[in-house]
Amino acid sequence: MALTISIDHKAADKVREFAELQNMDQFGLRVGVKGGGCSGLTYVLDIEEGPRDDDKIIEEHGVRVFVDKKSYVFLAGTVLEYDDGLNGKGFEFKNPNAKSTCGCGTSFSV
Amino acid sequence: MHDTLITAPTYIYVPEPSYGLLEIHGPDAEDLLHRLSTNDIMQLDVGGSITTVFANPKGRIIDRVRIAKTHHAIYLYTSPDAAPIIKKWLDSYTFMEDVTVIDITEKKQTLEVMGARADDILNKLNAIHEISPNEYNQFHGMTPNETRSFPLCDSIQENTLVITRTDDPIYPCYLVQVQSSYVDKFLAAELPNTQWLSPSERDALRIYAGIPKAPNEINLKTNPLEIGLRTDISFNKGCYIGQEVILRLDTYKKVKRHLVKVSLGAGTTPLVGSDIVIKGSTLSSGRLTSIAEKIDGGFEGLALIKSGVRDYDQDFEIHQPGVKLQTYLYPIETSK
Repeated sequence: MALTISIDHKAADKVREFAELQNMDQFGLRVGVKGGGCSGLTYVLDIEEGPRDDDKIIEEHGVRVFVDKKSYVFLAGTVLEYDDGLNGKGFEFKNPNAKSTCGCGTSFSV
Repeated sequence: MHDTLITAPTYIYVPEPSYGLLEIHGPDAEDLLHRLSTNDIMQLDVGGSITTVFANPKGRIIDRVRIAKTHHAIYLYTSPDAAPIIKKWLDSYTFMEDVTVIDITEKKQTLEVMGARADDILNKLNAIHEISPNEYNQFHGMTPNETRSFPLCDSIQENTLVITRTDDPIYPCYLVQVQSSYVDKFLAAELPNTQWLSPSERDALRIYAGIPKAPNEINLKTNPLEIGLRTDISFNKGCYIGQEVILRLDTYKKVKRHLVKVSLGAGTTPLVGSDIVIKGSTLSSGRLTSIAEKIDGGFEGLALIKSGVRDYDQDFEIHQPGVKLQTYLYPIETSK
């Protein structure tokens, strides 16, 4: 298992698209987790101008990904994909640390 | 015990062991509590309080707490000894949120003042605390679940008297949070027509009111629907830890046992944990979870009874070696 977080090409393109809609020149994708959701932890996705202190920064397909250190523990090895078909789910986390996920897929437990 | 309520106008109880008390600060505090517990914390305004349940992803109970909100902070009253557990639970789920949780159980003491003349006792308490005159009578007319804080004359921020009306276990009941150093003054004051409750007397009131407590009914083997905490659950607030299981149990009516009141005949004190069986049977229908002696003889208790055999017209008995007590089931009228 790779101990990093990666983002696929489609997801990176979509992040850029959202940043353009918000007229952001400087941006990165905030990826994290927060407490809550049926299974205990919920994924967080946001577009931010820059990293915060102590963030881990990963760059792939021209997009910077910001992850706080505590979230990183639960996300190491995760691949962020984007599924855009008619039945697509949008952004999708493939997280090898998740032992179970709730019905809607946004919440997981480790 | 409850029969004496008719004659005694006021009761005071100093919890032993003390209720746990957490003080929470930060702009993300409500949101965090909302995501981690069963009730709708986002609806809680300054000056209010609400009861809610922290459950694990399987819907089992970690603790039931009362959350009171003042201008200064959010306070969480936990079961005795549960403050470190809840603090650890909150800390483990705090990632990027701006939230600080402080365990102030040792610094503050919580008292309960209850009964028809509770207002008089609160007046006395306020006088002892030298509350400034314009604040003096502000607790009058408090409504259920209301919380008020009273800065004391020495104007030190942390010397604040916080009063929450809970009406739990009797009406009216006030939960009073004071500096531990002030408690001795209060205990030494002359308080006419007041009865100090012992832990067993307080527990008898709780059982009479049908309120679950830790660890008897509130523990990692029960879920909030089983033990009558339906009003602690918001069914339309969205996701929280344990929601999927709790909602499924409710929607598909899969709650397998329910908390009921039991009345038992006089005899040897039955043990908590004893099986309750249908009279003449040896098959367990449930389990006794709390027990208190009635002043007129016999016992009153709480029991978790399997849903399929919860028949209030059926005769039951305690199934315990050397003890044979006729047992009747009663529904719990309040849903606290």
